[in-house]
Amino acid sequence: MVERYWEALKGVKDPEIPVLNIVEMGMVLGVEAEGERVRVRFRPTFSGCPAIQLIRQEMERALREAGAKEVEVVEAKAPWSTEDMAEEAREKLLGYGVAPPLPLPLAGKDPPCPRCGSQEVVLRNAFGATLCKMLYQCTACGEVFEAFKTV
Amino acid sequence: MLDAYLKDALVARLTAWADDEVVLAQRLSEWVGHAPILEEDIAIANLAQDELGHAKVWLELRQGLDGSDPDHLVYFRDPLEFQNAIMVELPKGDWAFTLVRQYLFDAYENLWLKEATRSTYGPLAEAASRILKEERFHLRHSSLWVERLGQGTEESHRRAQEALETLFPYVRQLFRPLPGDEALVEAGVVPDLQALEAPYLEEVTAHLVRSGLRPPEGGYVPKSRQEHTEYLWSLLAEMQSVARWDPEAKAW
Repeated sequence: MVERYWEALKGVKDPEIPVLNIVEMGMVLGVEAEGERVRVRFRPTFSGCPAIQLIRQEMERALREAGAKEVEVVEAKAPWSTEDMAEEAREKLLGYGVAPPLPLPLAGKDPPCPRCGSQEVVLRNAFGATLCKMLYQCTACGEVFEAFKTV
Repeated sequence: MLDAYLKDALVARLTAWADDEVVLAQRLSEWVGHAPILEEDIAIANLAQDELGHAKVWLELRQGLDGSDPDHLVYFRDPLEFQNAIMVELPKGDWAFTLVRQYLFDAYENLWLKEATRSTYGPLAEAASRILKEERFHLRHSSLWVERLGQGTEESHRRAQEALETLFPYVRQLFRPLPGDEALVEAGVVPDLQALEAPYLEEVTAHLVRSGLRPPEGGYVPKSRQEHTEYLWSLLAEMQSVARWDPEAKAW
């Protein structure tokens, strides 16, 4: 029963990075079901993320479609970290052209270019099109790319 | 759990922190569509969003203590009830003023948040470590801009120095305790802001000097967070206008 709800939540994409779903992002901490009542423990990524409202609505919709009659979303206060992202999420990001977050001990270092792999990159802006990304340029191949912030 | 005698003091502290963020976010958002280059327009929108997100974190902590509604506090409180420091309500000024203010505020936040991650009150420690992760990017961005402006052209240097002359005395208000702070500090709930003033001044002065700028001495330091300038009124009138126009709306 609970598996079905987990599967349903895997259908909820991060609206700002539509190749990733909220489960592989590590945003869902737990799912409990009692009959048709479902309780989800959920953790937002960045505190000012404007997508949160939408994600909550999408979660509720997905769970109702999976058979839940009552949905309760509890927001956990413990901070989210990019360490909570699943390996496959990192690969998807790379395929999407976004440099995945570096391991936490390397926070502050620059990521390699997602296009050619070069380490010769220059930070153009610590703030990208969304809160979770930064803007880089690769000096080897010239590609301008976004990198997921390591937090 | 928090002892009852600390609750009111923490509510006041959280409100002050949240109000700083809300008012600063509003000032930052005034740049959206007007920043000197596209990347900075995006950066400043990001900063505004982050600060607003942080205000939400503090107000939700407050909600957990006294059941107050965060939206109501932001959109329906009158200016005299706001507890923000004066430096964040001053008009946005030019680009140098905005970035110097941001740097001075970011350095302050990074410093006290680091201490607050060790709070004896679990929810506060968690909130601080969450916000600190994001604030590091702010400081990286604004400290670079201070350097750029300070060492840039004669004009950028002049403007940055002028901004500093106005802002620097007000920064010291951020370290002034609220009436209930002493008990909170003693219980290890919040860091001792007064004790952080000296390390702050040392760190910030070093960076400013490296950037070719000179922090002014003296100047008026506001005595309490009840003090405001005339600028807060128009800022809040604009910020609250939509919510006050349709108070029944579920979201704005």
